[in-house]
Amino acid sequence: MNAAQLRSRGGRAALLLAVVGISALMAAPLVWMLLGSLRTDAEILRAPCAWPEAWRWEQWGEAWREGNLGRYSWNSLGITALTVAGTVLLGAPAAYGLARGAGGSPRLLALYLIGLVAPAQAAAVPTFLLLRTLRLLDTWGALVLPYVAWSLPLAVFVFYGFFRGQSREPEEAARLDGCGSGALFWRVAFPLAAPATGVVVVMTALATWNEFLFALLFVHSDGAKTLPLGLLAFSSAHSTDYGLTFAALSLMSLPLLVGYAFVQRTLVDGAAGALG
Amino acid sequence: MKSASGSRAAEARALRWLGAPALALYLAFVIGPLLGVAALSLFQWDGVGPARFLGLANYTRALFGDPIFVRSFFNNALYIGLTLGMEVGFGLLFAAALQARLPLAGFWRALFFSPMILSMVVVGLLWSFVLNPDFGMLNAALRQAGRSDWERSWLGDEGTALVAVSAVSGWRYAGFYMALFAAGLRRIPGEVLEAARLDGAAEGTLFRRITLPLLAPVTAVAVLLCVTGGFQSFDLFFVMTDGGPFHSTEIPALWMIKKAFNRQSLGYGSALGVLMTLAVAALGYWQIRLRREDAE
Repeated sequence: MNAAQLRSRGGRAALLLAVVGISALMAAPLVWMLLGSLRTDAEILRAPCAWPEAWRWEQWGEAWREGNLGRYSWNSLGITALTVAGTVLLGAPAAYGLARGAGGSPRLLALYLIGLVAPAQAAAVPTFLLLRTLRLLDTWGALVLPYVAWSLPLAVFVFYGFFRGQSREPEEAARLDGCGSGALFWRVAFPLAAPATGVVVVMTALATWNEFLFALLFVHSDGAKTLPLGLLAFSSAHSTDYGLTFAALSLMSLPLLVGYAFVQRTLVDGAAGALG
Repeated sequence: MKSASGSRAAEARALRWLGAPALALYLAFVIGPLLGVAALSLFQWDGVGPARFLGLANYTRALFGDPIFVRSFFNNALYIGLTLGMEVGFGLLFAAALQARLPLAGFWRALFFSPMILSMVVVGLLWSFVLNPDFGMLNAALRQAGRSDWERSWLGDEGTALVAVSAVSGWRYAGFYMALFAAGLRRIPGEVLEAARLDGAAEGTLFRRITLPLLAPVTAVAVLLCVTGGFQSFDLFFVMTDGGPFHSTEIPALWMIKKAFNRQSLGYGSALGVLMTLAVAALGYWQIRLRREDAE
């Protein structure tokens, strides 16, 4: 082995050490939260960084009940599912039409680009007034409609890129069999677009599940409040119950982290692919 | 021939109809409100009573009579500068480090990206605890390391609050930029680097002289996303500081929502929203121009 190889080996060891160190630092707040969720307030105040004296898993159940987290989870799940379904079912055919040369494609793409870069905050006031006129405030619809609309640009671009790169052969064959454009899309093109659908589903679901501003402004009662709002309300109502708040935060992030372990490849590559 | 062109026209019509529902919803809930905010910005309105036409008075008030709004732009610019380092900079470092085929590379990659899936509310609440002066993890760690003199009320101190929020933002987004850069790195042909290595170039030189220039288009996208995205931050600031202490973390988005919804100044809030949109558009346009000049 020559000197250069030896040096690069030492360099790789140092690099690995740095990566492990930074990973540990990045994971530390999450580990601290999980441990804190099993400790009493007195323990946390006495020694902020320490193992639990007794592992109080019952705090998780207490946080779930106290915070009405079941109700908020249901709202979040329902609103996310409807938003994802709406985004795919509207976005995919729209992108297909644009990719296959419906009139005015470049202008429509430019129109969708606006929604990709414009700050949603700026639209908050008129959207609020529109929802008030439609008598939708404080319902699931108050969130689903704007969420779908704001998710469409990314979905259209992801599907558009996919359909542009697809061969038209299967579609031509189906057309010769007398298939109309609509049926052609739903029976032939859409099923073939599963990889693009996967990216759109994961990214839309994540953005919707975590959305905060519109939820804060458009819904107020338990019937429509989503988890981020529920958690915020919980933490201000229990501002001194640290252990309990940690338990609520853990309850809401652990399932996501576990689910993430299964889709991380799609998600990490999808994030880069959709925007890179 | 007539029937063929007729069927082609019918096909184009059918394709257009496929996009009609999406377009209708998008016009109603994205384009409509973005136009509506411009119209509202010309009025004084509390949302209930009659509206009064003001012309451009809301804009002159925002730019010349609202020092906190002006300050919020500077805060936001500073925040963007800091996050360029903490999000884009660290993202590039992570991507470059993982390029070296370390053991468990997939695991580190997944771990760096993992904060991206947590909601900003969870991130904000968690880090408010981490930075808490009394029982926070950071101060406790400093105490245990014998550096009690470094302890601080991180979010309650005008000097550290904005930096603290930027660092939290870095914690959440660095993994996203890592993913972006990693995809860019994969597109660089291995032979180029191998050839330079055979010529005896050091790894550091390779990175500076070959990898970075080849990554330039990805870097441009990353900077564009970070800058325009930085102007749209809201959640972390709302949860962690609500603009305080003494408006040191006030940003335009937060100030606009406060004005429009807490003080029922829908017209004035709308004007602030328009100014914010213009700032984002100008920054995006400027970035794209820069990129084009680079390419030429």
